[in-house]
Amino acid sequence: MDIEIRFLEEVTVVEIAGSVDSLTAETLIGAMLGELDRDRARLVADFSRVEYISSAGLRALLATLKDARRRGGDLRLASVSPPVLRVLEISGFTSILNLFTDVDAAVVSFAVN
Amino acid sequence: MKAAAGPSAGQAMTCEAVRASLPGLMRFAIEASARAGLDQDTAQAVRLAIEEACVNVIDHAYAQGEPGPITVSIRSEPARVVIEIADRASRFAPDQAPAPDLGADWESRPVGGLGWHLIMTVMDEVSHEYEPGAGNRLTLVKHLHN
Repeated sequence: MDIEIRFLEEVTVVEIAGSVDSLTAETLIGAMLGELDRDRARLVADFSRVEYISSAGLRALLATLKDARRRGGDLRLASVSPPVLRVLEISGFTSILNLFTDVDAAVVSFAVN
Repeated sequence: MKAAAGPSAGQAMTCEAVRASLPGLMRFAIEASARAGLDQDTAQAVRLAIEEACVNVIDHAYAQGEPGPITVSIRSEPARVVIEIADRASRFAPDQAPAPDLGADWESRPVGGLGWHLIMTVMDEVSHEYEPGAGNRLTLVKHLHN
């Protein structure tokens, strides 16, 4: 898994490529919580190049989401692929996560709120 | 760490049940699915179930003592794929794993505890046997829709 971080004004976009699983989840959560610790609590995770997620990845997403919302921000997902969406659905995550069709829509959503 | 493949005997891999073995176990799951010619959705389900089951064995089943062996085998049949995960740990009772509350709001949702739920959801049949001295054998079946 590769992670690239870029900034669009107050929003941090975390671009993820690869699998979010038991081997990589700790790296992802470290990167996202690092942004929260820098008072950047508006996160968009670009999932367009993620084809696989397991419960370890779900843990990383939920831990980040909780931390971000408690700081007044959020973690929002963009461009989730069908196999990843299926895991989010059967885990009940689609009712607590905000999903967007692409990164632009997720970034703009922070300005609307 | 050793792996064996054969069209009639299926494919199997045995290694020590430690975190350092996870990359090899997960690579085995992906490559065995490819060799068996599984479709993408089935291969994803097999990969997910094997990862979650192996993590359970590594992190929980052997937690009380020294790590021992774990064997993962995959057998593809015309109408189904059968996965077996065997260990020599103390008895693991998967039916006692608490069911997650999938309707809870984000604040009360616990972080973790979804691995067994994912296995139960993506697989069509799940059974567990324990034999003192021999250990646990978890059998997972995914039906194929040809």
